[in-house]
Amino acid sequence: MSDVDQLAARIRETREPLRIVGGGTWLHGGGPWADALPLPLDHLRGVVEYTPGDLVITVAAGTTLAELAATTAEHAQMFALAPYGTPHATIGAVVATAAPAPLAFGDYTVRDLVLGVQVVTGRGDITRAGGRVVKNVAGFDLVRLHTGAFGTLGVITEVSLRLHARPAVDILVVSTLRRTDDGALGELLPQLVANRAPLPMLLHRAPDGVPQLWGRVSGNPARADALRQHLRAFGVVDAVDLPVERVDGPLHHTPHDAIVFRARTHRSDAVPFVRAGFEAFPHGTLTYDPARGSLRAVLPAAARDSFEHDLDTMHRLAAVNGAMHPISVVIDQGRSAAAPHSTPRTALEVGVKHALDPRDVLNRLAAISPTTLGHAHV
Amino acid sequence: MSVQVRETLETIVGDRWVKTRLPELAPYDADALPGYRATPSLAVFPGTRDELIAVVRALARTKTAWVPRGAGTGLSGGALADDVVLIGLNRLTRIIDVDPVNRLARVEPGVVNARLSRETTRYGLQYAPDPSSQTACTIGGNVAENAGGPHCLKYGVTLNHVLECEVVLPDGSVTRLGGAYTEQDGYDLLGAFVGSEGCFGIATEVTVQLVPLPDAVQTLLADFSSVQDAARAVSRIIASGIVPAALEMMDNATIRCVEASIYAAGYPVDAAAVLLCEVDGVAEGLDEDVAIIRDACLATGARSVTVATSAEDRTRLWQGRKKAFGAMGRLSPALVVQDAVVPRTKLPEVLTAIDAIAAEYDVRVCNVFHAGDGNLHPNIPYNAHDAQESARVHDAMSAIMQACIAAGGTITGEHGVGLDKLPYMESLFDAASLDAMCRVRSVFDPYRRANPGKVVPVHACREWHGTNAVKHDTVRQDATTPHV
Repeated sequence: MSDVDQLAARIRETREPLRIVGGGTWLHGGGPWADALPLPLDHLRGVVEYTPGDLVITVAAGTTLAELAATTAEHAQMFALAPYGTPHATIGAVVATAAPAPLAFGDYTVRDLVLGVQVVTGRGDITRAGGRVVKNVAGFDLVRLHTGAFGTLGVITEVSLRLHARPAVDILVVSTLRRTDDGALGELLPQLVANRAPLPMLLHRAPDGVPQLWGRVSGNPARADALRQHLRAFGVVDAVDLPVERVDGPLHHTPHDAIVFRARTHRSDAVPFVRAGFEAFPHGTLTYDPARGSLRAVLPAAARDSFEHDLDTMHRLAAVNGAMHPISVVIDQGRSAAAPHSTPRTALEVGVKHALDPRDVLNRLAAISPTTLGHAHV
Repeated sequence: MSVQVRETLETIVGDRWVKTRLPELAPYDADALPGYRATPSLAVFPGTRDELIAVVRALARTKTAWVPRGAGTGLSGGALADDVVLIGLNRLTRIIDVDPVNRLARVEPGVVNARLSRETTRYGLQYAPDPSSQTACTIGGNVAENAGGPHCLKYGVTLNHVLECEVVLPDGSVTRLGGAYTEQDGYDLLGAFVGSEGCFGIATEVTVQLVPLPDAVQTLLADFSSVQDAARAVSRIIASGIVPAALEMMDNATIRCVEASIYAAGYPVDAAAVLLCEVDGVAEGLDEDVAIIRDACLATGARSVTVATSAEDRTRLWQGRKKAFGAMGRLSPALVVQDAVVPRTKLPEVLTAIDAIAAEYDVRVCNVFHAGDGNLHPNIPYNAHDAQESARVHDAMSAIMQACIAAGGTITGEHGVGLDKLPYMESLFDAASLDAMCRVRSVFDPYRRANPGKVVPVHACREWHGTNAVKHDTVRQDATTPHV
């Protein structure tokens, strides 16, 4: 009996709810999960199939991002993004959480790069969706349903990913705002929002620090020079080059007791909202991704009631800055802070959950409350 | 079709927009893939969103099955309505708004793909997915099929560009899926809806993202004396780290068709294959990318590589590619088109296998395809009135599909399963995987009234085994067996 067959049998036979445990990094933060028996997946590891010329790799879900990076680097290839969290997170967790990833090559997201999955559903069926090719519309798209479902529909056991060849130049360029006053941010933000160049960027500010502009400069040397020039035009100075692997350094550092909010705004609403966010949370780590319109705030959660207070502040910021469009605020586990009830919520979501996990045995969620909240790495 | 249903629909949309007579229904008895014919019991053409919703509700009340249809340019038989109601969406052509600051457009489902880009060019923006039928196909149809196109190699397919849909579900309820600039929370139901081939409901409104037009574009044409060399060039280009905007291949049979047609593009008629490669983006560095691609082609045996020097040149080169299917119409009255995708490294091997299959079954295969994605389009022109030739074509296509599946590929990259690829679904997915698809379909459409009999064979759905509905649908599928 294979490992996956055993897993399927365990799910079919269980009378208790199960909690999927991959690398353990995602769950350590005290995420909102109900009590359940652990379902460890750390034995599902390694490359299943990799033909470098296809730029597609199939790995067992327990394979870590670090292992994936090492394997692909041997062929001058890469998985185009490094999600927030640690390199020891498993690819299964990255897909299950559709983890946000800053400064991805080509501004790709996890959803753009998952080609196929093997999933043991909550019914205990071993299923496949998608495939190992870069374009595929055969059948209904269950890959998309499992991506970001937080393991509530099935256990992802194997993943096929689209890879990219490393271009001649692929580096991070980190520079600092020329001035540190509020006006400097006010001048920079509209430019960032209106940017049309294919240049992944991130505005980052460490607690009580000076805002930095990060850019991922990729391509042939001539294009890389042009993109550097483009970054300089934003009025930043002291540019430092870092290897792209360093994206999981300072950007990813998140204290265990922190709460992570994400808020997305339309471009037209972004400038006042982001400025207000930077002002409202001087002790938080803030990053703004202009391509997605996403502001991420890592806030210390040590103080009593700080969650409610910070959530209230986020909503106030969303409400008072004259936004023409709704601004959605979620906490880092992909759960809406505005509707802190169990997933699923809509009739279609209830139906999908019932279709694939009718007994509600997998990753049963608890209601979000300050006591269950805490930052969860992927 | 009952008189009562007809009268109800006429009350909603007006007599003029309900067609019931056979001559009126004839235009809707096929899509762009000849060989499949089925006549709807009635065709209804709502003129507004509210009429569309009212139509679906009326059909839900009377438990009537239906099939949505955009421009009918699909290549899978997916828009065929076999004695059920056809809902035509081609009157819903409003671009509701374009928001250049937020790079968004909201459109009704009947808006023609190319029109959307035309209307947004003034803002320096475009709608990136560009199916070859883009001058006719609709955004609603693109959403249903998760349509691709040559430039999807770099820009992604429809799924990557649709941010939100308002959807009328088969029970007549209306819901919104996804959201522009919203953080995802909950299941990616929009991701499941896009590409569901009209089986999950009808998009009444689609919000798409627009992307900035590139600063500069360069288009190359490389000609090869062997298809396999051209396939190797594809791998080499992709491995260089460049993501071309498009990377297309045409074989000699296709080149000759194009050059003999009004779409002649100046392709060398003695070439075994040509590659059409486009790079775009920031102007700086584009010449260097062109040099790398040129070197990759020459290193793998290209006879020559030319670069289009003007916008007119580029348009001409692309016209030949985009109208290649039409050009094949000169050869024979009917054409079958396949859409398999294989891993890129398997391209030389699969193209050789396709040659051998063509010889074995005595059919002519014209290959024109998205080489950068490994997305093959083997086309076989034939005479549908010749029963023997039709049978050979059908067998050759089956053999090609099995060769692609055996190479680790899939049966459709952008055209959809529809009716045409239904027989191959069980070669690709096992029973449990098909059953999972059926269960998700049942969430959206528990009574199988939306585009019945398409995408997943009903007998693959465990929950439906032995029910009357299964028996009914099995009969229906038999009735629409392709007469290729």
